[in-house]
Amino acid sequence: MSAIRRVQQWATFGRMWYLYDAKWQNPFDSADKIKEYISGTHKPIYHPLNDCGDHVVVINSRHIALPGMEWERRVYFHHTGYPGGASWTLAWELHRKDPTLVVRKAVYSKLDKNLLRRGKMARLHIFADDEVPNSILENLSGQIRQLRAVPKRLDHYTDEEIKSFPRIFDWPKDYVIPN
Amino acid sequence: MISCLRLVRHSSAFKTVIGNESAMHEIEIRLPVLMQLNGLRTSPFTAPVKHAQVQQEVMQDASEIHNEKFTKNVLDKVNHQILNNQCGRLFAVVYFAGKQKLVTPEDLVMVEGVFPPNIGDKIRLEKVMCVGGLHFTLYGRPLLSRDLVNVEATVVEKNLSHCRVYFRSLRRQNNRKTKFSREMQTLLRINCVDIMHKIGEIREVEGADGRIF
Amino acid sequence: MVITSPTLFARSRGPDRFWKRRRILALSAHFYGRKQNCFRVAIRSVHRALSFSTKARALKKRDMRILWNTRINAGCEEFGLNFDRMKIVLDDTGVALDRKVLQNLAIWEPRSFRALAMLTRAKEAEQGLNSLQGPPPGVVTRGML
Repeated sequence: MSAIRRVQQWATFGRMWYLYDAKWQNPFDSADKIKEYISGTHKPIYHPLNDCGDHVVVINSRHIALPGMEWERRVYFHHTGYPGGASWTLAWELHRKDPTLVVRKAVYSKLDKNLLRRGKMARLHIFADDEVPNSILENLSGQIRQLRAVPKRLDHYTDEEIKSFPRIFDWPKDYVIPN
Repeated sequence: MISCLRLVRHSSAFKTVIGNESAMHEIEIRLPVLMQLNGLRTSPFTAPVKHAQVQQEVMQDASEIHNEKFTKNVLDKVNHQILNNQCGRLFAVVYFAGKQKLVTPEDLVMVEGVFPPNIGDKIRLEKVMCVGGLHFTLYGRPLLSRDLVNVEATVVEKNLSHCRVYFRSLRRQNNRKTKFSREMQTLLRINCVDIMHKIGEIREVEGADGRIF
Repeated sequence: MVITSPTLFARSRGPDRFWKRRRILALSAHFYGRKQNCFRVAIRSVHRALSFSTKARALKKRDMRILWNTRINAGCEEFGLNFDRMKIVLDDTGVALDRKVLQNLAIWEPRSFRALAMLTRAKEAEQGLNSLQGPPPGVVTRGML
């Protein structure tokens, strides 16, 4: 094999590291996206038996946004194996115990149920905040686009930005806004 | 239709027909109903629309000129590569034996099923859907011209496949069926994939006349 | 079970119980445990295996198609497309390449595949679909596609 072909081989099968910012994102929809990257279905060379998945580093998992009433209604079930060992934990309780677990469980349940699942999960690195150890930061080479932009509140805008924001009409000067 | 009715309402002709003001008022109240009725009929008098005469001017589209230049440039580059044999090893997608196959010279291709040619026969694969080299790819819609691409192959081997067992059984039903089948397999060696002439020009003689694929 | 010589096989013609069982046990030669050598156990597992392999011939075609779809979609996503959109355009323009060839192009001929993706974008822009960014540069259709 020539040197060029060998490098091409490395480049094709080398693992990429992707960053995903989970701030204000729906973890269950995000899991669909992350699943593709850690199992390798985003590459044309994909085959279920070829180990071509990439690493995904999820940050800000503390700030995920669950849709609707999910924080109160979603229940995580666990059984210790002993009689009476069943326990049900609400999503907000679980999130308080470990802010990475909701994302981790979402991705874990979206993956195919086979022997490759644990290996794929090992390629997922979740951090509660945006502090990532340097050993991982230096590997990062790509970023996954967020599913939706993080909304910006009115008080986050500067006065200038608010003033220069295009308006349909101006209020009359003597107009009193009723409360 | 509605606009027509409005025209009538304000015209002097309307007053002369209806006469007094009160009747007019009454009609105005009923107007919505009238409008619906009128909407169903063809109005007996429609003012002819007069279009102002427009002097037409032929404008040369700048993007069209650019596109033509661009196309010519691309075709020239491809033709240059074809004429000077700079295409590299060509690949072609050929359609034969009911299947599409991507082949390059010196490939071994297996055909399953009945295939009449015998060992040593040279055949030409005429249905070429796509041919490509180092820097360009030509796609047919769906087929490329028969004269453009020449894909030749030699039959290397004819054999039967391994025995496939079709076995079906239903438990406790005394229902069991076993069949054995061996398909004919033919091995072809692709001798050459060549582009025969320049692209983007109309040939004097087209070989594809009267052929319907 | 030692395989005796072909002459022995030829001498013992007829429906012999031993040879009848040999036929089954030859198929179970690579099985594990008692399934390998005990006829009563072997025959059941051989029947299971044969019916599986019969069914698997049809399943393989389905699985390959799913795999090809996954691969082509992965190739399309690099250009912000998906295969459904690309397939519609390819059908419209008369490029009748099938999934097997398309996935091959996506892996081995990425630039040829890119051409098809750009063609899709250009054709969609011509039809006014998904074309907020306008048609991609370098595609001249002259309204003939």
